[in-house]
Amino acid sequence: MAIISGSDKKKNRRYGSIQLRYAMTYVVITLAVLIFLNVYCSEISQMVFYGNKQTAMLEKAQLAANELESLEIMTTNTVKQALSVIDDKNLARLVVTDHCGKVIYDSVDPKTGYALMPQVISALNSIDIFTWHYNAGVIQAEAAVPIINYDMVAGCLYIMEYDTEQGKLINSLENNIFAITVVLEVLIVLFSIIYAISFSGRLRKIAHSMRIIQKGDYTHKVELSGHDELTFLGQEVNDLTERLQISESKRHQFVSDASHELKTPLASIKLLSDSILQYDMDMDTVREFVTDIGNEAERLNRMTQKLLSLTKGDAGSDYVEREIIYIVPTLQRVIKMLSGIAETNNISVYTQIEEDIPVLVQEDDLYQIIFNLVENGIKYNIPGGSLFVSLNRRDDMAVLQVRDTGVGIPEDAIDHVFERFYRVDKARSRQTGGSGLGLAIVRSMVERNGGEIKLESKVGEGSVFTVEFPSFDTEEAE
Amino acid sequence: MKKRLSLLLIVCMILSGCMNQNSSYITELKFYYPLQSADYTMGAAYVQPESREGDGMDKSLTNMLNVYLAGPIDPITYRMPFQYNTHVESISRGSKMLEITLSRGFATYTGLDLTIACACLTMTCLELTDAEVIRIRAKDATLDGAEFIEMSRDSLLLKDIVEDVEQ
Repeated sequence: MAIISGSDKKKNRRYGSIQLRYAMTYVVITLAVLIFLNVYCSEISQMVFYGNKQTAMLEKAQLAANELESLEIMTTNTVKQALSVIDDKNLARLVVTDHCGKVIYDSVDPKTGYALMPQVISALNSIDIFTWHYNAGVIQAEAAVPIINYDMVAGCLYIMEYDTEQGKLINSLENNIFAITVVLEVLIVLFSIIYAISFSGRLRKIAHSMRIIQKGDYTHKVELSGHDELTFLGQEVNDLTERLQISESKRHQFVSDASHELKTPLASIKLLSDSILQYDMDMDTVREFVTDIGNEAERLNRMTQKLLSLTKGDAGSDYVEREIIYIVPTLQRVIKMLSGIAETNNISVYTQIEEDIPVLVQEDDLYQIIFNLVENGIKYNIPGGSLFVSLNRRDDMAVLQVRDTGVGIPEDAIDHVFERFYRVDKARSRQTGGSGLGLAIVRSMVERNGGEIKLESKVGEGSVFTVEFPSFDTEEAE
Repeated sequence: MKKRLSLLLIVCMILSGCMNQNSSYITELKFYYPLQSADYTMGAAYVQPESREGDGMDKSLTNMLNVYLAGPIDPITYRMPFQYNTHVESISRGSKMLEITLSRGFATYTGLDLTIACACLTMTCLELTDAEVIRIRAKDATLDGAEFIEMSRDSLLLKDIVEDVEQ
C-alpha cells in the first residue's frame, strides 16, 4: 500500500479546489438560470393577468362614467341611482368626484370630502388610468376615468378591486415554480457533487498510480471501470508502464551484460600482469603475456567503441542526416578493406552486382553495416568457404545480400542474434574477438536509415543476411 | 419627599412627550406638497411630505407656515401648489379648529388646483398643530365661490389601500 507523503497531500488539496470550482461553477450557472426562469415566469403570468384585468376594469369604469355623463346634475342620490345598473359586486370601492376632486359619492365612506389619489388626479386631467399591485397572493387594481360633460371634465369615476382569487392563482404558480426550482437545484447540487467526486476521484486514482509507478513499482496497474475517456487514459498509463518495465528490464540486462563483458578482458589483463610481476619469466614468455594483454586491451577498445556507437544510436532521435549515395563504391571499399582477413582465413569473396542503386542513407552507417556483415561472413565461415555479396533491385527496393557457407545459426538462436551481447557460440566469438554487439549495431543502423534486415540460416549450410533500403533514383528526387 | 419629586418629574416628562405639535419642540417639520409626477405604487399619495430641519427656525406657527408657503426646497420632486408671495394674513385657533386667512392672491386659485393647495396646507397644519379641522380663507375674497374651505384628516382621501377599505 502506498503511503501518501506531505507533497502528495498538497497536490490533493490543489486538485480538490479544482473539483470544488467545477462543481460550484455548475451550481451557480444553473441557479442563475433557474432564478431567471422563476422571475420570468412570474412576470409573464402577472402580465397575462394584468392585461385581462386592465381591459375589464377600464371597460367597467367607462360604462359607469357613460351613465354619469348623461346626468344633468351629479348629486349623491342621482349618482347612486345611475350607478345601480353597474355590476359592482367585485368592486371594493367606487368613488365619484366633481371636477375639483370633491367627493360626490363614495361607496365605502360617505364622509369622504375630497379624493386626491394619484389615479383621480390623472383622470381629472383627462387621462384614463389603470394601476395594479400584486403582493403575496392579493391583487389590488384601480381604474379611474374622467366624466365628460359638454366636452369638459365634469368629474372622475374611480373604482378599486381587491382580488384574491386571481392573486391566489399567481401566488400558487409562483410557489409551484419556486418549489420545482428548489428541488431541481438540490438535485443539481447533489449531482454535481457526486459527479465531481466521481470524476476527480478517478483522476486522483490515476495520479496516485502514476506516483507509485514513478517511485519504481512498474508492476502497479491502474484499475478503472467504465468505458469513458478516463478508462482509456488509465489503459494508456498501464501500457506505458509495461513499456517502461520492459525498457527498464532491458536497461538492467544491458548494464549487466556490458559490465560482464568489460569485466572479462579486464580480468584477463589483471591476471596476465600479475603473473608477469609475481613470477620470474623468460623474455619470450613475458613477450607472449604482453601480447595477450595487448589483444585484450584491443578487444576492450573495440567493445567500448561499439557500445558508444550503440548508445549514440539509442540517444539520438530517429532523424539522422542522410544523403543519396550509391551503394557500390562503399561496398567495394569494404571488400577491399577485408580482403586481407578473407585471404588469411582462406575465404573466397564473390560479388554479384546487377546495377548500382542510389539510396538515402548516412554513408558511415552504410559502410559499418556492410563491414559488419561481411566481416561476420568471413569470421564465422568454414576454412576454404565462400562469401557471396550481391546487390540487385526488387520493385523500388535496393536489396543487398550477404551469403556465407559457414556453420549456420540454429533456429532457436535466429530471433536473438540481433540482441546485444548475444553470441551463438561464445567460445568461438571470444576466439575471433567478437563482442556480441556487431549485429545489434547493424540492425540499429539499418532501421534508423529507413531500411530492413532479415536473416535466413541453416545449420551446416550457412547464413543469408538480406538488407533492403528504398531506392532513391535521381529521377524520383527531381 | 424624594418620591413625590421623582413622580412630579416623570409626569412632566410624559406631558412634554404628549405636547405634540407645540412648535417650540419640533425639530423635524413635515411640509406637504404635491409630487411633480404621480407615484402609482401601492399606498403612495399624490400629496407627500417634504422633511425640513426645524432647528434654528422661528417656531411661531405664522412663521413656519410662511416658510412652508414659500414652496418646496426640492422642486424636482415636489410641485409648488401656491402662488408666488402667498402668505399668512392671520391665524385663529378654536378648541379643535385652526382658521387660516391667506393673502388675497390665493383666491385666484380654482377647481382642482385649489383643492390640492388646500389639501397640502391642511395636512401641513395638522402636522404642526393639534387641530383636527383646518378652515382656509382668502383675505377679502372667496375661494371658488365659497367663503372658506374646510378640511380634516378624515375628509381627505389621499391614498386608497386595502386595509383602509376593509376597515
